[in-house]
Amino acid sequence: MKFLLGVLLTVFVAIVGIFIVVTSGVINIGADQAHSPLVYNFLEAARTRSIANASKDIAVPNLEKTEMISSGGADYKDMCAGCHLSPGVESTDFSASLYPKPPNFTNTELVERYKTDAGAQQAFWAIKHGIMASGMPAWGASHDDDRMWAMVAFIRSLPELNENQYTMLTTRIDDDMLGMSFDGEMDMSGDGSGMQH
Amino acid sequence: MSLFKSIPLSKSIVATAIALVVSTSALAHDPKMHAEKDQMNCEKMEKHMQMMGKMDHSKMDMKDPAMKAMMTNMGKMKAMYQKHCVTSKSDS
Repeated sequence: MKFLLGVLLTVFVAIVGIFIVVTSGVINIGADQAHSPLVYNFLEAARTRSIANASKDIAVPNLEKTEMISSGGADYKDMCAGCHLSPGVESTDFSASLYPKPPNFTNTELVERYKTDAGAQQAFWAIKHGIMASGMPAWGASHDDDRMWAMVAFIRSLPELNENQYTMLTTRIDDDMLGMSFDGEMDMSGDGSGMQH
Repeated sequence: MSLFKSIPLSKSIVATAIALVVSTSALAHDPKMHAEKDQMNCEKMEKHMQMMGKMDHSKMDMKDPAMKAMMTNMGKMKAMYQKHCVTSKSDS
């Protein structure tokens, strides 16, 4: 009985202690200060496990379609490169300022994990749902699944590209160029389908 | 003053909105603006063409899906440049 009371008292004191610390405002939430290694590892484990668990049943489409990589590239340049970088760009205002640091998708070793089915599932989930309190938006609110899978497809190829190849692959043919005011038809795909997202 | 009183507020809002849409769409279709935009796009594409010319294709793995996608993009850009920029240059 005494043991049980001791446990309950300890739990109560811990809860009250946490409550006092949180409500006192002494916790620094500035993004210019790193978490302690203990807190960082705890949060990272929670994030990794959560994404792995939530994404495990997602069906992965064929990510080697050229049109998919091409349209994903254009979206990557517009929506991701500012934080996740691009060939020849080692830092941006966003990548330097965010905490936790956004992963650098030009890094071959880092991107290797997205080449497995599980990695692709997790990448898709993170793009679609975002990551709470990290700066990663939930693109699923405004983009359909095909468009987000295209981004995954492009990210898997990104470390292999040099600056020129990146420029060629991320130029948005439909908006940037097909949007030109020339007379006549603008469908340059040759199959009448145009470049659809 | 009597004119303003005779027109209901909802009608005046609708009339203003229509006037704004008509005036801005007329502006968007100004041929001068289009010509400037086309020229800017051609200059942009010209840079892409130069970049393509400098590429060393012998080092690329043409079986790689990313390279295939890039080559497809480049083909489309080249075709567009030939069709709209080279033709318009020779015309002028």
